[in-house]
Amino acid sequence: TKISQPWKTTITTDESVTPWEDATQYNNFYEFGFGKSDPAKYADRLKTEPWSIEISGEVSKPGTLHLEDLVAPNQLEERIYRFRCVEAWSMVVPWLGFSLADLLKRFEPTADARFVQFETLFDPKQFPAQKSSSFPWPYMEGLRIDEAMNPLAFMAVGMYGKVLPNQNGAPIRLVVPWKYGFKSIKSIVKIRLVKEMPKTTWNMLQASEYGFYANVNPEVDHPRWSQKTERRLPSSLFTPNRIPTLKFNGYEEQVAYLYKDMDLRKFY
Amino acid sequence: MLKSRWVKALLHIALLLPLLEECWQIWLLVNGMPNRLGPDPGKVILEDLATVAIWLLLLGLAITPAKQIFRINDLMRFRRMVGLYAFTYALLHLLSYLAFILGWDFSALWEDIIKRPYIIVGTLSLVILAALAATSYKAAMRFLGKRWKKLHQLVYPAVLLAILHEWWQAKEAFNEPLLHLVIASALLGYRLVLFFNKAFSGIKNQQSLRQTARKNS
Repeated sequence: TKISQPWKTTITTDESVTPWEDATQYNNFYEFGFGKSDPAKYADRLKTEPWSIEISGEVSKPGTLHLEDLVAPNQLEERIYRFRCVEAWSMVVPWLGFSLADLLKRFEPTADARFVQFETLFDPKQFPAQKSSSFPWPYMEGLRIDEAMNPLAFMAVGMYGKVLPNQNGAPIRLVVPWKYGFKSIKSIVKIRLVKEMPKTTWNMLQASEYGFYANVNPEVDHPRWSQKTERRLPSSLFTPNRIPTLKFNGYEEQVAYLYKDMDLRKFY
Repeated sequence: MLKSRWVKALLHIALLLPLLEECWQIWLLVNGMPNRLGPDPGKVILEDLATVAIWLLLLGLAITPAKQIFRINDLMRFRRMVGLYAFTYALLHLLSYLAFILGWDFSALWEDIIKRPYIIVGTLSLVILAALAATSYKAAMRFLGKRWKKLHQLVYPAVLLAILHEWWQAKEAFNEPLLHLVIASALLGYRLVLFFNKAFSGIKNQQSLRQTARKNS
C-alpha cells in the first residue's frame, strides 16, 4: 500500500539502497519464527488495524492513542539509513516516519523520565512463535532519554514509499541507526518513560553478549565473532560484499557526544 | 533385500540429493531466476551443507545400534558410505565458507580463527573426519588391524565437536543444536551402557571364577 501523506527526504546517502525484495524477505522478527524467511511467510497473520499505543510512566500527559492519532500531527520524512545487524550483515533502507523526540515531547516527559521502554505486541494468535516459551515474550527494548531525544532516533511507519510491511515491524517501529538492529523494536504497543534502566530482551537472554547500549562499534567484538566488518546485502555468491564497519554505523558526528565519558568496552 | 545393489544405488541418490538441490539453487541464482537462497546466498548454502553433514554423522552413529537392536546385520554395508558422505558435506561446508563468506580472503580467515574459537572446534572435527575418510578403505583396515577400530572411534569426539561448533556460533534459538546433542547423547550413551555392561560382567565373571577356585581348593 502507498502512503497518502506527502513527505520529504531529509537524510540520504550515496550508498545504494537494498532492493525491496531483500529488505522484505530477509528479516529477524522472532515473533513470526526464528528463520530469516519466517517473517515474510507468516506476516499476514498480523492484524495492524486497528492499532493503539499506550504511553505511560513519567509523562504529564499519559494516554492510549489510535495509531492514526499518534501519526497525524507529524510531518512525514523519508530517511535513508544504514541498518547494521549484530550478526554482521547490513542493509540500506529508506524509512518513512517521524522523529521519536517529536512524539515523546507531545506527552511531556517529567524530570524523572531518564529512560524509555518499548514493548512489542504480545498475541500468540498473530505471532505464532510467541507460543514457544524459549523466549521471554513480549519483546522489550529501551533507550536512555538523551538517546531517544537525539534527532536521528526515528519512528517508522513506512519504507520505500509504502506502508511498513508486517514482517518489517508494522504498523510502527523504532529505528536507531547507530545501534545494532535488535534495538530497533518492531510492532510497538507500549511506550513507557521510566526512572531506572529498563529490562531489554536480548540483554536478559545473554547479558555478556548483548548490552543495553548495543552501539555499532568495530572496536568492540561480539564475544563469539568480530564486528570489524560486515556483509552488505544483497551479497553476491562469489564475491561477498565485505565492507568495514564504521563506528556508530557512520553516525559518529551526530551521536558520539552521548557517550563521551563512557568506556564503550564496558558499556557495549 | 538390503544386499541388493539397487538399495545401495538408491541410497547414493538420496545422499546426493541435498547437494544437487544446492547446485540447482546456485544455477537459478546465477541465471537471475527466483531461488530460495535470498540476499545472503552464501550463508544459506553454508548452513544447509552443515545441517546435512551433522544429520549424516548422526545417521552413521545410529547404524551400529540399529543393527544390534533390530538384528539387521546387513545395515553395516552402509556405514562407510554414510560416513564418507558426511565427510564430503562437511568438506563442502568448509569450502563454501572460504569461497562464499571469506571470498578467499585469508587475512580475514586468520582473524576469524583467533576471534571465533568455534572455527577451531569445527576444523578439528573436520580434520578427524578427514583422517577417518583417508583410512576407510579395506587396505587401510588390514594395515591398521586392531588400531583401525581405535582410530575410527574418534568419530565420537568428532560428532561432539561438530555439535559444539554448531552450538557456539548460533546467535540464539539453540533448538537445533540441542536436538542434535540429544540424539548424539542417546547414540553414544547406548555404546557407553554396552561398554560398562561388558566391563561389569567381566568383573563378575572374574569374581565367580575366583569363588569356584576357592571352593575347589
